[in-house]
This record gives sequence, C-alpha cells and structure tokens, in this order.
Amino acid sequence: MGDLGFMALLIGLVLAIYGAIGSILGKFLGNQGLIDSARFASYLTTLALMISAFSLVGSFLNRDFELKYVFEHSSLSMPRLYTWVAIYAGNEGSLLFIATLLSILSTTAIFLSPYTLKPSLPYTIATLMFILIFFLLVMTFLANPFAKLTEIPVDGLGINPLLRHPGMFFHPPMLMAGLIMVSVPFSFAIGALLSNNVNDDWVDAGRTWGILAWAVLGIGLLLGGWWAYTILGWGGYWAWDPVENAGLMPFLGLTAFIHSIMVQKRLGMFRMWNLVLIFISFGLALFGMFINRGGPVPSVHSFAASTLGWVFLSFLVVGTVIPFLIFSVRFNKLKSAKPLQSILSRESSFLMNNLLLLSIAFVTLWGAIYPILSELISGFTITVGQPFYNQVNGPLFLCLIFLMGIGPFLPWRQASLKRLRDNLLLPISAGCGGVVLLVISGIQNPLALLSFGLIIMVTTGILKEFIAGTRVIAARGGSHIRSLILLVSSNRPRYGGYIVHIAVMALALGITGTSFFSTQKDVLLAPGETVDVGKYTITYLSSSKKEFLDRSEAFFSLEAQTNSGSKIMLQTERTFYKNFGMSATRAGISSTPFEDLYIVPSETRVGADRIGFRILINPLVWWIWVAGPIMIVGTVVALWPSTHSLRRFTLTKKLINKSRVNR
Amino acid sequence: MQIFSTPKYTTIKKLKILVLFSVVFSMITLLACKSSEPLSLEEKAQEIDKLLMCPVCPAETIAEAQVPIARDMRLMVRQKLNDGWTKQRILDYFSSEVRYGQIVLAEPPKTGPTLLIWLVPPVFVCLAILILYFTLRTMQRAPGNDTRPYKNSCPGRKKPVTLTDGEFSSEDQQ
Repeated sequence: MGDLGFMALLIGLVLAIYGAIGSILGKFLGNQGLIDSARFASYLTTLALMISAFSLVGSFLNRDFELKYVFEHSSLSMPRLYTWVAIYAGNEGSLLFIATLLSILSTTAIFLSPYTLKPSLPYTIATLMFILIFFLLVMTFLANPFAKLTEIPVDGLGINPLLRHPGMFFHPPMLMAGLIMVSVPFSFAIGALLSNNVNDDWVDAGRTWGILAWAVLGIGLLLGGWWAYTILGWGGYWAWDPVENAGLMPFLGLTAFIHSIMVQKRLGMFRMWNLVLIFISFGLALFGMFINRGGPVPSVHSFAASTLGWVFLSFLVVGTVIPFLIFSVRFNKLKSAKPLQSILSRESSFLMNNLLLLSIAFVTLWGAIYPILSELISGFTITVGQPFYNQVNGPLFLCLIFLMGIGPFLPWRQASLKRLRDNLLLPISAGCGGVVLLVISGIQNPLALLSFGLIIMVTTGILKEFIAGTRVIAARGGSHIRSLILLVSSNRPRYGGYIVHIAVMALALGITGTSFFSTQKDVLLAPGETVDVGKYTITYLSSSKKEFLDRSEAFFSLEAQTNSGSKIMLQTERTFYKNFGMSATRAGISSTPFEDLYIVPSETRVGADRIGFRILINPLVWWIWVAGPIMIVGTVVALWPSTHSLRRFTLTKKLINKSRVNR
Repeated sequence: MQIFSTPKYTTIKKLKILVLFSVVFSMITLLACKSSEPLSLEEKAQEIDKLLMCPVCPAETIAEAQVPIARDMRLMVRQKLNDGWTKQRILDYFSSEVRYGQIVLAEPPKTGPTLLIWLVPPVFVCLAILILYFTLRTMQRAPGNDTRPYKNSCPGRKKPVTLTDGEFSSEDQQ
C-alpha cells in the first residue's frame, strides 16, 4: 500500500504542474480549453492526494512497519484510533496532511468562486498549484512518507506520549489547516493583481476565506492553550513559545485583514493596503511553517524538528518577495475609489486597528528573531521569554480593547464628535463604575483594574448596540426575541462581528484573571495529609498504579473541601513511557466560571510515599475556553449568506447554464 | 440618551459631570496604589522562578520545568531569599558568566546593550503612528477615482438596517 501512496503522490505532482502551467499558458495564449483542462487537473489533484493519504492511513491500520514513517510513529500496542494523530505526528505525514488539505480547499474555493472572477481565476489556480507543488516536491525528494526500511521491524517505536490527549486530535490539524488556509485569500488576491483586475471582485472571496482561515487558526490556537493547560502541567496555557508565536502572527495579520477588507467591500478604499495585508499574513504563515519544521529556535514543540529548515526558509523568502514584486509593478492601478472623508470615522479606526495588530505581530516577531540574529552576529546568546512579551504586548492589547469599545460607535465616512460622546457615555460610566466596585471589594492592581474596566466598557457598548437595535425593531411590533433575530439577520457581518468581540472580551477576562490573581503552592503530601490553599482544604487520599507494556500509569485521588463544606473529588495522573523515557501528566481540574482548582503531581519520588503536588487556583480561566464556542457562533453569523448573496449565487449559476445552452 | 440632546443640557451640567469623574478617578487611583501587604517569601520566590530559565529544557522557566536541576534551582532561590538576598542579587548570581550566563534570564536586562531589544518596539509603534497620521492626511486630500458605480450591486437589494449611521435612530433630530 505504500507503493500505491507514493504513486498517487507523484500523479498528484504531475497534475499540479499541469494545472499551474496550463493555467498560465492558457491565459497567455487566450486558449479557454487549456484553461479549463488545467482547472480540472487541479480538481483531480484532490483525488490523487486523498488516495495517497488513505494509503498512509491503511498502512498504519495494517501495522505495515516496512514503511519508515509507520515504524517511527506507531506500535503494535498503539490503539488504532490514534492513527489519526500519528498521521501528522511527524514531518512527512504532516506534509502529506497539509498538501491534501490544500488540495481540498483549492478545489472547493475554485469551484465555488463567483463567476465575476473568471478572468483572474487561472492565476489564482496557478498560485494555489505552485504552493501545492512546493509541498509535493519536498515530499518526493526530501521527506517521503512512504520511504521504506531495508529490514522489516517486528514492532514500531510508538506514538509520542504527549500526543495521547483528546486535544491532540484537534489542535495540530486545526493549526495546520489555519496556516495553509491563508493560501486561499492570498491566491485570490494574486489572481486579481495579475489579471489587472482593478475591480473589487476578489473582495467577497477574499473576505469569506480570510474569515474562515482566521476562525480555524483561532480555534487551533485556543485548543493548543487548552492542551497545554491540561497536559503540560505547569498550570498555564500560553508561554510565548516560538511555535505558539508562529501561529499567533498570521492570526494577527488575518485579524487586520478581515477588518480592513470590509472597507474595500463597502467603499472601495484601501485597495493597495489590503493586498499588502494579505501578503504579510501569507508570509507570516510561511514563517510559521518554517518555525514548526526548521527548528531554528528551541521550543516545547521540538518533537517535529527537522532539517528542512533551509527549504522552508527559501520558500518563505520566495513567497514574500514575489508578491511584493508583482505589487510594485501593478500598484498604481489600485487607487482608492473615494477619498478619506474624515479622520474620525470607521475607516480610520480600522487602520488604527491594523496598526495595533501589526505592532503586536512585529513585537512577537522581534522577540522571536532577536536571539537568532544576536547569536549569528555577535555569538552572544540571550533569551527573550514570557516577561518580555507580557510587558511589551500587554499595553498594546489594552489599547486594542479600548479601540474595540469605540469602534462600534464610529459610523462610516464621518463621525460627529457629539454623537460619539453621547454614545460612549454609558459604556465609559459602566467601566468606571465597575472599577470602583472592584476596588471596594479589594482588588488593587492598577493594570488589572484598567483591564477589567476596559472589558466592562466594551461589553456594555456591544450590549447597548444589541438592545437599542432590538428595541427599534420591536417598536414596529413583534416579540423581542423575533426582533433580535431580525436585527442580527439584517446585518450579519456587523452583528456576527459583535458576537466575536464578545468572545474576545471573554478571552481578555480569563487572561486578566490568571495573569494577575493566580496563586500557587507546591507541597509534599503523604496519603491522608492535608494542606490549605486559598479557600480549599485539600486532602491527598490515595494512589493506584497500572502497568502496561510500554508505560506505567499512576493515579492520585484528592479531595478538596471548601469553607461552605462542599467536597470536590479530583483525580490526577502521571504516566511514564519507558520507550521514550519521559512522563506525561493529566491535571485534576475543578472548573467553575469563577476559578479553577488545578492539581498536578510534580514529581514522584521513587520509593517514597510522599508525592509532590503543585496546586494552583486560577481565577476566570473558564472564560478563555468559553470564548471558543462564542467565536464560532459569531463567525457563522458573520459568514451566513444573506438572501441577497444567495440570489446572486443562483443568478450567476443560471447565467452560466444559459451561456452553455447558447454556445 | 435623550437628556443630552435637549437644550437644557448646559455647560454647567457638563462641568459637574467632569468634576464627578475626576473625583471618582482620583479615589480609584489613591485606593489602588496604596501599598498592599508585602508578598510572602513563597510568592516572591515564585515571581523569581518565572524570571529564570531552566538551563537544560527548551524554553521553560524553572517555574514550569519538572526536572531535577530546575527543582534544585528553585530550592536555591528560596534559600537565598531566606538569607535576605534581593531579587536582583539572585538574578545576577545565576546569570553571572561563571554560572549559566545571561541566557538563563527569561527577559533581557533593561540596562546595557540589551536595552536595544526593549527600545525597538516603542520606536516602531511611534513611527507607525506617524506614518498612519500622514497617510490619513494624504488620503483626505487625494481625490478618488470612482468612475463607476459601486460594484456588486444587484437590482432589488435592500440596504441593511444600520443604527449607528443614524438612519433609523429615533433620536436623530440633527
């Protein structure tokens, strides 16, 4: 089956090459037949790559240890379910995963693209195919998932212990999907640019796929935080680790893009700037892939490190330089449709949003790159760790939150200062009032107070928009629920966006709580012993052990009792994997919207019955995880096609059918 | 808010609100910044743990790392705090060249050649704000080239209900 997989991979490569070259040649020669056949070739790459991917899955299920990749990432004792994780556990497999996904996305995006994009579509297809060709070439020559071993081993090495967690079924694929999805809006942008298309036709496809890529990447990042929180055992969820940063930077670029693309959609402005933004986002996504694979910086993610660094670095350089070259040749055709009417307007607030987001991305990039540069140039190594990012990016994020509070009240084109003041009075008063209440209840940290105040201000503003709008519609008759639904349906991008902003506020709430008010205690307990942490009295009850072929699992049961007398049972575990010589922990967590009680065994001393526990009380963490579903709801609302766009979609389908009949 | 649109909303009322806000703000600042209880030894130690990197782990502080050397370093931090050492002295101790060097510090020192790392971000942000300001001014002056009607319009499409633009706001009298 490995041979079938490799064959399918090669066929996919040939099809992709034909798709790319055929599209470009067809455009030059004006040959529609060539263009169409190239497009179908690009569709067929999906079939080829899915066959290849399924061959790899089949090889895992068959325990085909002749294949080097199957040997390295599975074993006879590995449950078959983990095959899904094993596929992308290592370099070769994750490259195949990304390539297959890119092919599926490419086919979907091209197939569903609006008819108006017909002139630029061949260039879009060519761009997508060139990106695909890169991955396929890397797999064919440097990192073959179907490479064989000379002797067939009896058993495999097994899957990395850190991957044995439900989060690992979703976090890496979502992150990889999000990163590669940036290729789609990027390719639409290049297509428009190359075909001299000065209309804003690519904006709809760019916005839709931009938002999808953004949402997938965001969920991937959140899932990574959740995985780190429950399994890495230090009680945190984000460490400004180079690999985490690598995923965050394109996310910030995309956030900037999906905001200012709205200005182009509505007013025909920022045409050049939006191209720059999507090029930057794509470059950052490539940089992300480089960090994940090149391994130039040490990180807790180093399990996927490889020597492909130079290859990905070259791709990063090419993928960033060439779009800007094309841009520099064509940009003078991209003047704005309208002048900027006023500096106090939604358009300029979006530019301010871009400035803040790109500054945060720059700071993150700077912190990641400086140690490498410093080592290369002066041989002097330093660490740029969490405290740096927290102190520099923290204020920038606070400014961003403040901007989120003002933005909804800035209309397009021109805002009146008086109206703005009137609208902001309630949110700002609510923020100040909230801060006063918090101070009275004992909170004193100024930064935390500022953060809470801003969160209250933004949330009040958003709720005000929903309530005021619902009232206006309900005044014409009908229930409030129905009015709310009508309100949201009437302007889905806006109200979906507001829902996403609420998700961001939940995230900010959780981050503020844990950053300033977490308490930690490291204790040694023998069974039966008790310790007081915060308002909890925690008793270590008992432990049990389970031995397996490849691992030994140790479970610890604890009981936490609050002042009010209620008891919580917690179980935490520590598993030692013999083949890998490493341990993985699973934290015992009792979570409420107010705080998490978090217990993890820090180290087990061999032979002693006293166990070291780390006990943490993390306030408001729950809100970080709840931000995920809220974000998904907001994204769905924002992207849900209105009857207008559905009508346009069916209208263009009818036009195509009509033109086919007439030919 | 209707009351602010009526003619009775005079300058005096505005001043009163401004004074109220200033008083509240000063109260908040005073209360917030009054010195809080001194941190316990363990809390101070945990703060320092987060500032020292584990020498053998990739990108983990000794607060997070669960290897013996990290545990030993955490013990040493607590011992030295007990002996009365200050935070800076402890950091200097670990980062001196005869021990682990500067690489063990989680954040680059804010003095000396590493000050550059800290200065670049604010300079970047200030430059960006300047560029933004001048760009906005240029965009205001440049005429648009809108020679064709707004694209993507479809006959029969209804405009969405937008409240902030004031079209449907019931208080819109201006």
